[in-house]
Amino acid sequence: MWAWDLLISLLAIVSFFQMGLLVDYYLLNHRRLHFNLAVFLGLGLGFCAILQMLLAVLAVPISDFAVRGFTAVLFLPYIFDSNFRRQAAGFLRSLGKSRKVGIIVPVLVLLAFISVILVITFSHPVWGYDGIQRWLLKARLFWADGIITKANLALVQPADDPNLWPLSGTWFYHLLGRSDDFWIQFIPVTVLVCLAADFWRIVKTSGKVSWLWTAILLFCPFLWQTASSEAYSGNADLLVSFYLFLAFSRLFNKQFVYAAIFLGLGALTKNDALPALAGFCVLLPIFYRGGKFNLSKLALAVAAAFLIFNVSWKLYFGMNSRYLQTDWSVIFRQRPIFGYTKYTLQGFREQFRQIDRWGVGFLVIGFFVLTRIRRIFNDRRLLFVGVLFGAQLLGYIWVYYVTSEDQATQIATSLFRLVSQIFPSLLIFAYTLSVTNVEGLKLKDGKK
Amino acid sequence: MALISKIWLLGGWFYLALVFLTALFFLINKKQKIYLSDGILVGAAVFAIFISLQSMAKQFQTNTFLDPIGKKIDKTTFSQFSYAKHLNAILPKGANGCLYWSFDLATYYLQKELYPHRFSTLGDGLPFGECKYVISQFRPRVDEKLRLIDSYQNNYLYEVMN
Repeated sequence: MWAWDLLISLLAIVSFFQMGLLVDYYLLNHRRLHFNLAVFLGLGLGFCAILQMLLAVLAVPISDFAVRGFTAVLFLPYIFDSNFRRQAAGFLRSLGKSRKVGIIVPVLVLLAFISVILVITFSHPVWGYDGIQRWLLKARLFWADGIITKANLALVQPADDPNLWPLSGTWFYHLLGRSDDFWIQFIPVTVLVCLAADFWRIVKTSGKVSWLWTAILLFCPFLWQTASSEAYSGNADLLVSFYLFLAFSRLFNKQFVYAAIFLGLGALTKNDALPALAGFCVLLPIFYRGGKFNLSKLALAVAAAFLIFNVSWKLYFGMNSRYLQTDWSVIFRQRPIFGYTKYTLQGFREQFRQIDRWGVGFLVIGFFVLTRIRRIFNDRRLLFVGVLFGAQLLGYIWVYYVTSEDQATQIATSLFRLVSQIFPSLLIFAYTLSVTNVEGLKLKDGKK
Repeated sequence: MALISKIWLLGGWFYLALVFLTALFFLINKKQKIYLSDGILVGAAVFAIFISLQSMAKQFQTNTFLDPIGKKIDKTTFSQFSYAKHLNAILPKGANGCLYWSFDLATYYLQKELYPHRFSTLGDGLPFGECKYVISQFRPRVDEKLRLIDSYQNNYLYEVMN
C-alpha cells in the first residue's frame, strides 16, 4: 500500500513539473524548451492553483477522476507535438553527455543531504499549528467539497489567506484519492531541492566558491527545517521564499516577465509577499522608463494582472481583509508608530544573529552588502532589487504595527518565518554583489 | 563602560564581528580582500554544515522512519489519526456535533479529519446547543445528558439526550 502511495505522490510531483513545463513551453517561451526544474515547479504549482481558483468562480467542481484524467492529458504533447518531443529528447541526450569529474563529490554530498532530509521528513506527518489549523485544513475542505466556496472559505480563519499552497495540497489529495498529511510533505521537500538547485545553477559560474555559497544556503538550519520539521512542513513560508527567490534572481537578468509571474504567485501564496508585488508595479516604470521599457511594459501588465486577480478574487468570495478593514484612526491614536517600528526593527536585529536558525548567513549577507554598497547605487538592477527588499521589509513592519494581536507575541512567534521568506533572496543578492564589478552587473549566466 | 555594555547587549559578537570584518575590508589591499571574502565564505559554510549536522543528528531516527506509516502518524497525532478513521466509518452521513477542547493540535487535527462532518469546539461546562453528537478526546465525560455510544482507545463518542 505504501509503495502505491509513494508512486502516486511522485506522480503528483511530476504533474506539477509537467504543468509548469507546458506553461513555459507554450505560453512563455514560444515553443522553445529551456530546461529549469525550479521554474517548472513554480509555474506548475501556480497554474494548478489558478486553474482551481477560476473553476471556483465558474462554480465547476472537480473530482479525483477529473484530476487524474487531466494529469494524463498533460503528457500528450510527448506523443503529438514532434517539436516538443524532439527538444525534450535532445535535452536528455545532452544530460547523458555531460560528465564532469569535479562534480561527483558535491553531487554525492547533495544526495546524502537529500536522503537525510527525506528520512527526517518522512518519520512523521505534518504536525504544526498553522499547517493543521489553516493550510492543510483548507486543502482538505477544497478536496472534500471538490470546489472552493464561500462557505468552506469562511470555515478557516483568517479567511483572507491566499490559497496557492492549500490548492497544491488539494490537487495532491485528488491524485492520491484521500487527504493525507504524510505524503504531502513531498511538496515542501521538492521545493527545497529545486530552490537549492536553482541557486547553484546561478552561482556555479563562480567556480569553487559556488559550492560554499550553495552550502551556506542548503545547510541553513531553519531553511531545511521548513521542509522537514513536523512543526513547519505544513506552512506556506518555504513556498513564499521559493517564489521570492525565483523572482529576485530573474530580475538580475532583466527577465521581468518571469519576475512578475513569480511575485504574483508569491502573493497568491501568502499576503506577506504582496508588498514586493505592489512595489514591483509601482517601481518598475520608474526604474525602467524610456529605453528598453517596452520589454518591461508586458511585465508590468502581468504584475498588475496578478495584483488585480488577487484582490478581486478575495472580494468575489467575500474574504474580508484583516488589514484593510481596520479602524486606522484607532490604531494611530493608540499605537505610537515610531515605537512600534523601532520594536520591530529590534526584532529583526535580534533574529539575524540567531545562529541556530541561520548559521552566520546574515553575517555573510551583511558583509557583502556593506563592503559593496557602492555597486548597488551604480547598477540599476541591483538598486531596483534593493528597493524591492525595502518594500518587503516595510510590509513586514506595517503588518506588525496594524496586527490586532499583541506585537511582542506576534514577533516572537512569526518573525523568524518572515525572515525565512527573504533569506535565499538576500543570499543571492549578496552573491550577485560579490561578482559585480564596481561599474555594474557582470554575470556570465544569461539563462533563466 | 555603560556604552560598551549597551553595544555588547545590542550587537554581541555577531554584529561586532560584522563591523570588524567590514572595517578590515576597507583597510587591506585588493588581493587580501579576495582572501578575506573567501575566508568568510569558507567559515560560514563550515559553520552552517557543522550546526546543521548537529541538528540533523538529533532528528535522524531510522527506527521511527522504518515504522509502518500508520504507526508513525498515530504516534505524532496521539492516535487521533486512527480515531478519525474509526469515527468516519461509524458516524452517519451528515452527522455534526461538538468536540470537547483537549489541546490545540489534537482538537484541530480531529476537526480537520472529520470534515465534511462538522464538529465545533466546546469548552468544559458549556451547553451543547444544537449538537447531536459530542466527542471527548483522551478522557470520558460524565453528564446526565450524554449517552455513551462508542469508545475507542480512550476517546469517547456521546449522543446528546434531549
